[in-house]
Amino acid sequence: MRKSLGYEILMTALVLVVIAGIAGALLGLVNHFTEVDEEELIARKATAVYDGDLMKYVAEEGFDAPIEDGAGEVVGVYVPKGNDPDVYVLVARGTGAYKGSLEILVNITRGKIVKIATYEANETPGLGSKALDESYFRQFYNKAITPDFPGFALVKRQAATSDEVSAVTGASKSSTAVTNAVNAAVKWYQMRVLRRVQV
Amino acid sequence: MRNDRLNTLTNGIVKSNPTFRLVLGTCPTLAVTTQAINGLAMGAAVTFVLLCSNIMISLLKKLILDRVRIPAFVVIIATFVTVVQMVMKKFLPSLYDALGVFLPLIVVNCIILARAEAFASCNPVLDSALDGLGMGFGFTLSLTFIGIVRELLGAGSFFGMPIGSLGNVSMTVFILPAGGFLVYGTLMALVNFLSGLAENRKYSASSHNEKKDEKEAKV
Repeated sequence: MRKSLGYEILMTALVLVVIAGIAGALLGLVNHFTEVDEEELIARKATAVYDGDLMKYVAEEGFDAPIEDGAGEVVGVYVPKGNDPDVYVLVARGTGAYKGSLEILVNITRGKIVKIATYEANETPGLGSKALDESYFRQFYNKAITPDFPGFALVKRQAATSDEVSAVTGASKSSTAVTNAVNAAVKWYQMRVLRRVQV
Repeated sequence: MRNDRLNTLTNGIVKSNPTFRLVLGTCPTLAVTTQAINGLAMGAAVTFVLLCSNIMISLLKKLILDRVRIPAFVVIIATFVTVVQMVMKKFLPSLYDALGVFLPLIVVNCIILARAEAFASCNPVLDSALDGLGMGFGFTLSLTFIGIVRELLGAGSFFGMPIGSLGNVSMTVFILPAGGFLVYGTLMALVNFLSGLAENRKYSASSHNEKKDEKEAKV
């Protein structure tokens, strides 16, 4: 009786260990072929806002503290590899989205936002995702970012002034998050490039 | 024998359709069917996991001790789900983002565990594979169908392509969870009505034949 109990314990453990071992080996193999390099992913997604090779922007000493203003923050900065001055591709995160936060790519070229694209977002398709459409992003384009530009203000009506953007109906949370992210990018550009404030 | 196999395959598509007849896996069904393509992708992922895990469990059924069969099943299912996740993240990143948390949650999808427990653990490999395939197809068809209806009514598009100016009169509620329940319930009623109709016809046809046989026997 005792012998068969030991045998059973051993067999149970052995079977589970063998299954888990084979599973682990299989997953390791699949992972080897499907591993996603984060830097490569950013570079691939960044082609949506900039046509060309990008590299990570290395800030000078004293200029590398993160820029955030409570509702949004810049999580990554990229610049063109070739000779293309005053072009910055920023990965900006905005809070207040339907599912926490979302990340967008913002291309600021020579003092103006020229292109925005979604980087990572989980908004409801057909609803919150309307705030991630080009038609909404277009409201931010080609407005001069001066050192004392106050940032974009979200309004729930037709935008009246150049610093106002009108929220997408039915997607006010996602609209807010996108605006927060854009404002973080704007703030980064003002602090680091225009005013060169040392933080 | 061949007929039996065919039955095993079609069983999951019509007679015991996991979504409309067995009402299994409703959580991902309601959550991801906001767009037809999401439903299709979710269905495809579940089909792959069902097929692979059914084959694996059927192969290992003699080896797996009865007492620890549930942890063993879960490990096998989780392995294939992780494979799907890795492959999707690499090659279909936008779908991976759209399905979100419901992709890893396939591990605890009751359709898969139910088929493993009720079918694969006591049937030969080929039948288990056919069962997995049939159930998977049934699930995929249902999810795509629900997705098409919800997307059409809620966003005025078909697989992401806008249809005319239908987008201007779309009813957003159909993309929200409440609309999911409405569409799901209505389609379930429709499917049950149609299959009931088909069954009745089959029944009356066979009884008609029987009467004919009786008459012929008398003659």
